Amino acid sequence: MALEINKLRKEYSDFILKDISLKLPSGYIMGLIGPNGSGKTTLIKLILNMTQRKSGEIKIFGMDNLIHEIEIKSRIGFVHEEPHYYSYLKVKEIRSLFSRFYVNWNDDLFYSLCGEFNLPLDRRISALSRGTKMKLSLALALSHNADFLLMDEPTTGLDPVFRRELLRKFTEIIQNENKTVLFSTHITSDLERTADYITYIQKGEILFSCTKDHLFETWGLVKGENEILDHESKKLFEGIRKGPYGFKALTSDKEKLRRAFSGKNILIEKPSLDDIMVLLSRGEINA
Amino acid sequence: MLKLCWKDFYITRLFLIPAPFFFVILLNTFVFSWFLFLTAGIILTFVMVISIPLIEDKYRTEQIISSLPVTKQSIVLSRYVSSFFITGIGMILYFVSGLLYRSIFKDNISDLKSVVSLQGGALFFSLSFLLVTVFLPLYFRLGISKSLLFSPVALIISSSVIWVGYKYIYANMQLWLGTPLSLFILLVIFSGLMGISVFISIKAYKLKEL
Repeated sequence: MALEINKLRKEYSDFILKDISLKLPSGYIMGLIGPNGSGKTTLIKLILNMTQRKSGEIKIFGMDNLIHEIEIKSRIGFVHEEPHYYSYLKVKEIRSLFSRFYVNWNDDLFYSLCGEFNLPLDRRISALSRGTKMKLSLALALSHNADFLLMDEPTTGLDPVFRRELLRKFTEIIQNENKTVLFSTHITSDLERTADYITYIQKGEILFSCTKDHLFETWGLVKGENEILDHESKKLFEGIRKGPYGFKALTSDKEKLRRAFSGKNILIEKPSLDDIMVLLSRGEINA
Repeated sequence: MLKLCWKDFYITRLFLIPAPFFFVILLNTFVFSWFLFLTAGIILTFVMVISIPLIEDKYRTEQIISSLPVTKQSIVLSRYVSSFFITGIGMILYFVSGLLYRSIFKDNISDLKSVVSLQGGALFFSLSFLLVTVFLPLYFRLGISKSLLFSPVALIISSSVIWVGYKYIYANMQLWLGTPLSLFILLVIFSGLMGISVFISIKAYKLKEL
């Protein structure tokens, strides 16, 4: 297991990450989705021990992240949403700075990635665009042969071309090498393209964490007339949105719902991650 | 930890290279008063010391650094090592400037004699040491802006306490215990101060949200 989180809790004055648990096997991509302020970044910071937890445990490659911090971080490549480097340094100087910290640093790999991403080695960081900085961040994260890539909203603010290129790179990494990726995003289309596992987090709680295939096999987007909804039937939905011409709702068990509504005029479709996110975060839940 | 110290010097090298020039030029203004010469030397050294946290703060690199294979404890300890190393460089530059002006002005300026002496060096070292031990816990707890605001106040209070201690206790101690033992006790006190400072810094940084 690449990542195992058990009953992890973090308390702020205005936000609580509530005893969350999840598992990510080695060699898979997990997408962490949820609305802004749901706890995605806090979770990533806790994995990297950037902030102190209240309780719970995090194991990476079977090792506790507090006890084996250095060993674990040596195997993690971190890509931040907004990578901050020393702007007055050049790309090659940043390489020189970071490479010293990793035993497995591979200069050939770094330079080959720089070539692939068209990274100008002699340019100062201050002169790089946001997308190019993200490419540098990814090159740095990959050049020490990290087994686990941890990325906090890596595609936010990037143009669609580079976003697609980045996602292609993720998939390539997974296919060619046995690496694990955990990345948070609120761009759900990115996950539909690449993720094997989807974890949805909202208000500090994990609402679901499962494989993408399982999610699309069991979850359903239900459409029907408002009249067929009553107090009992509403309990079958994870989120409901009513409109003047009918309702749109989300179920986590298509088959159970089909049985409950047999004979009634409803339409069950495969939901998109966007539908799931909107209905879970904005929909009326079990109303 | 040494890698982090190397990182500190790597990122500040552009700012440290012109330091000898500033020492020689600026201290020239204060050659007529040993007190001002000493104060200016300490301030210049402190500016060199705070260049590391100032850079980290300006470029918001704390998160990136803490994502490297290092612990928060080693980040704090390396900052102490780097700061004291830079203080050492500042002390050398201070002495070199003092010697330079002494050779230029010969004995025309009597104050320069006390600057370049064992007592002058001891005073420079103890005050710079105190400044660093006071500043770093405040920096790790409150961040750079607030720590710079509170450090002078904390320094004035702590140096006053030390001055009173030196004037009234150390002199008697020297009489009763002799110089070697008194110096040893002084060393223990300074080490204790540093130990407390490091302990508070580590605790504060572990609690800090990066």
